Amino acid sequence: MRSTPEVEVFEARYDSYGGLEIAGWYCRPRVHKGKLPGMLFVPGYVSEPKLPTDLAMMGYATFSAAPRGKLRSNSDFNPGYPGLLTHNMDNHETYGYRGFYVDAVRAFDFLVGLPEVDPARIGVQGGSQGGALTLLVASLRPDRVKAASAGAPYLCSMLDAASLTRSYPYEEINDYLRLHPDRKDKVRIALDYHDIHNFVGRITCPIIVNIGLRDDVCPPETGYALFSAIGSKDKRLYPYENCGHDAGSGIGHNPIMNRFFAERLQPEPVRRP
Amino acid sequence: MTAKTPSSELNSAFESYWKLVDDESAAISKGKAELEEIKIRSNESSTVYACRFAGVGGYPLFAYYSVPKGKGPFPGLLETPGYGSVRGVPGVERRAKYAVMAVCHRGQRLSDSGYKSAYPGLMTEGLPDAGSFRWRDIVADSLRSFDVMLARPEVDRARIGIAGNDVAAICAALRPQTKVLLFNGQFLFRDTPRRLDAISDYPLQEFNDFKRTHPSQWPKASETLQLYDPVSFAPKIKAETLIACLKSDVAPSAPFASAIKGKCETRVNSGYGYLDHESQEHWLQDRLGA
Repeated sequence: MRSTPEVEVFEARYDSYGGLEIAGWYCRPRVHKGKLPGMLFVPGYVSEPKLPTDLAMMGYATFSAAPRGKLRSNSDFNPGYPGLLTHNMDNHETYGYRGFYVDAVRAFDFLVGLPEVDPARIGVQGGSQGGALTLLVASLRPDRVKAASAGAPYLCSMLDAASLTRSYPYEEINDYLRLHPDRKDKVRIALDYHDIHNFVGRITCPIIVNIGLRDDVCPPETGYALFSAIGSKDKRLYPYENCGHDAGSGIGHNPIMNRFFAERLQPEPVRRP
Repeated sequence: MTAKTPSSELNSAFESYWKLVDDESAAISKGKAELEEIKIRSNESSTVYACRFAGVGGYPLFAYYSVPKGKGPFPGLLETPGYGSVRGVPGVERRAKYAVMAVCHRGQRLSDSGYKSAYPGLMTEGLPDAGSFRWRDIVADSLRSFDVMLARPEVDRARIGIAGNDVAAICAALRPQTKVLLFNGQFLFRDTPRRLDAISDYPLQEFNDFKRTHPSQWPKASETLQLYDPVSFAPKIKAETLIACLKSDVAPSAPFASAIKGKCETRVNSGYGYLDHESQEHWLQDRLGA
């Protein structure tokens, strides 16, 4: 029902950490010459993973993952929203994001393994939680990711972020610690293990990051600190004044991002009949 | 651009369709609603409750209901559900000012014990028939939550607002107690059948998927979608209204704005999310006297 004359749409499933089966949408141009550049799209916190037909129309074989807890991947793990951010947050071994992170990296491996995808031309993109997962994948697959774009990245400097905002999802941490103040030390340890800030020194690919300077969801202070820690020499920050969590998407950042990927991954856009 | 007058045939179908929905909602308007505090979400400025009540057909519904700390009564704000599996906890900022009702419609998380909505899928679920179109239930669930909020003793019935997109507009039309309507977000049903060629993004792309897959059913589906066009509800909306409009929705919003019975202002979003958000929240606060 979702495929069109230009784009083929597949529901995909792959195995991940703890034996869980994870779902995703895979879209690719119906007609193409040779191997396709690949794109991993990773989702935000509350949104369901998008059906990435728009990226397939741009010429990318695109995988849009639904990590555990998202619909279609939540039969064995379903902390809900709110819930995921603080699920087992006082134990770094069982914290909810542990498996969730693996799901994102496994999604990348799944895309790399598809025969029609050129493993030398794969990008990663997402906003908010998707921005965090983009940075994570670029950190843990530095020899594979060719280009990455992270918007309004979440899950970095998490305790600091929670002290800077009263907006959800970080407000979940404030809610949790208000009820369980005695657990703060354990929470700090678990979050340190999962803080994206602590991964990004490994990134080597070209990368762009966009942030909103009035973002009350993912405070820009954490975005600046994260950007400084990124290991890649080919990195660029786009800070947008008077923008919130939209981080410039309403005033022209998306074309910048599209050009960034097109120059590095060389897709052939699909022509409409 | 001027509002196109619906045909008398559509008018008749429209009136009878929504009267039935309204009657079904009214029949359960005095039904029980149970509140249970969610301690982890309550804070220094508001108390948050799990609000449970039955919707049309006895369907069990969940809503977040929050009340400011302090002496009421408080202005009431209904946040209508949009397209998406998650209905979030109302924001801390609004919770400090208003009694906020945020219902999870049937199929959304926390109201999904009997049925789970699909994404993509929800936009066209039940089409082409108007009687089985899932958004009929979503409107009914929202109306029910409005009635639950209105019955709360701490809510000032003279200061009732609704915020959201198409479902908010429909509720404002069917609940004349509404004083203020903040319409923001993307139009879902405004002239949708005629705009399909210009649509390529989800969730509205679901309509194109349906049309391509079920071409013979599309004429009937289009008739159903016309029943949900906000422009048809506009003459019944007496609330003072702000349409905070996406740039892409400027043209389709004009007939809606001009047909609204109450005072209406349209602001085209600047694209600077913080400024647009602040502008809308100030407008709401000024009118609800929070």
